[in-house]
Amino acid sequence: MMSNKKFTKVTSIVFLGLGSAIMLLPFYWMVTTSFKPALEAYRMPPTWVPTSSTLDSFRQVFATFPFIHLYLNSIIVSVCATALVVFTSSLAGYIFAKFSFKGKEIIFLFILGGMMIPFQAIMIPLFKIIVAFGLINTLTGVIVAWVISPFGIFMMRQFIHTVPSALIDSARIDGASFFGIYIRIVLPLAKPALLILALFNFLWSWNDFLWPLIIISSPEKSTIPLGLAMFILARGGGNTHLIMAGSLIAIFPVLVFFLLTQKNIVKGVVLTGLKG
Amino acid sequence: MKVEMKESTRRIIFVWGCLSLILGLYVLFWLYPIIISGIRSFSFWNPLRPVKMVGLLNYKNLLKDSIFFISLKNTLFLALYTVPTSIIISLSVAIGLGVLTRRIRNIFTTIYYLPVITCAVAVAAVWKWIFHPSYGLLNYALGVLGFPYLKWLFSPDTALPSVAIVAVWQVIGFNALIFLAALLGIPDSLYEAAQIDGANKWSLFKHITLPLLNPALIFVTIIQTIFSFKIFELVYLMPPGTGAGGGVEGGGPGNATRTIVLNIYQSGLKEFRMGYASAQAVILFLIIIFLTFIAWKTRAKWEY
Repeated sequence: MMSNKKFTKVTSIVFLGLGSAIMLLPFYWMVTTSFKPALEAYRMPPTWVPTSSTLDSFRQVFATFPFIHLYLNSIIVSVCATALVVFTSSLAGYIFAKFSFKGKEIIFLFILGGMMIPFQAIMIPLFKIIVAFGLINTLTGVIVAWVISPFGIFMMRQFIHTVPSALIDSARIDGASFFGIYIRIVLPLAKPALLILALFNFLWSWNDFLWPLIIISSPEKSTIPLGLAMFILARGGGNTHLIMAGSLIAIFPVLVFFLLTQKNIVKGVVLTGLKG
Repeated sequence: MKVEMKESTRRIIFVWGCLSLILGLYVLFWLYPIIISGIRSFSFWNPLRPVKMVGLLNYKNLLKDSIFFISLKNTLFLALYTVPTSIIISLSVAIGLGVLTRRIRNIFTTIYYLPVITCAVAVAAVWKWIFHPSYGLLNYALGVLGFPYLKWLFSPDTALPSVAIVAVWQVIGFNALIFLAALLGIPDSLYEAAQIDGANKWSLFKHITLPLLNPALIFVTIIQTIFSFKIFELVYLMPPGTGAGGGVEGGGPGNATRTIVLNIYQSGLKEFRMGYASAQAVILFLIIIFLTFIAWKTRAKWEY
């Protein structure tokens, strides 16, 4: 029986190991290609380890494209959008979980219905709204459309349900305001869920491409994905080593961020996945 | 009595104060746009001219638009290619992860999840390079194994499947984690009881694992289908001819990788035929609603 269990374990490690190789290969290929000089990048058969490593591609990429600037834009967009989504979702979650009022169920369902609306089906009217606000080609224009998330509201309501009502009632008797209770009791107790929502939303808004593509037209206002796409589209054939270097520069901070927060993200998929 | 009145009034003021903020934003950025998409799909809508209601004309034109039907077909095929494949692979990965100790499992989940958090623009770039017909890794591998070269993204026959390969690679980690959570939620006692009754591994899987995995399977099927419908970066950036000198914005070769979303983007925001694009957006919305509905309705049939 014991050896049987061990056999299962070894088989799955071998299977998952082979799969991991496929998962990692594109990343490895991106890294090695960006360290190769142009000629070696196009050599057949390809070299698995660059025979003449160089930082030339990175130098050229940084010299021709304002990636540092793009990082800053992406940080502004992702941090603001995430902070706002976490605020609106938790506030709405608090209201729907801890108050009873007329029409509550219907209003909640009405917001929940938003989860079925694909962004692609509303992007044209959204674009017109941003134009009407005079926010076209601004980072604010990118952020404002992201301030409310039906999924975030749903997730926070589920979680804030588990916050004991007795705590809220006794704080109320002690004279705390409803908003004070939200800040001092609900938010601290909902921290695990808030953190997960923030992480997901941060990654999602960092990586989103289509909405910035619609709203932003100048390179100095681009976010990382849009800037990277502009960089790639402006380069013709024979520049793969530069494109790979640009891609690596673009994804590197998120890879590091993910490796640092990986445990929470894994927990988050489990939590939100099951409840969704 | 007086204090109680005040308390309930305050409660109402707080609730409706917060709700009006949230509902206002929700209506502005979700509800109003979808209603506008619906209404304007019955009009000629161009930024330079006043909106003109034209009844069903956009929809009638869509029925005559062969490119629209190609994009519809490609979108459905992309779902057909990616949904079953990614479910089978990620379920196998989840089963493999399930038997490991937590430390080794964490290492593997991190690796499998990397593509999920990687910017799709970079994903498109590196896979385009891997698919390169003359210098790409894949054709090199085919050559080493003695197979003939494929043109991958450059041939109308293989372009869409190539995009599907990348889409599957992107989502395995996400689906596998959901399956893993469901698998770990199945109590060991069920398996032990069945084993005492003499059940073999396959019947354990068929009669315990699969039925209890049903909610996760439905969830992943819906999410995965919707995900495949929304693929944009891959079909926008990977096809040949996109970029410097090419002058094309995705969808090629020919229209082999043109999807509804790419079509909506191009007719609405490039050619500014916004009414026409809205009609396509409405169709996309209805398809997604319909699929979600079907998945929920058939749920009962899958349950044992």
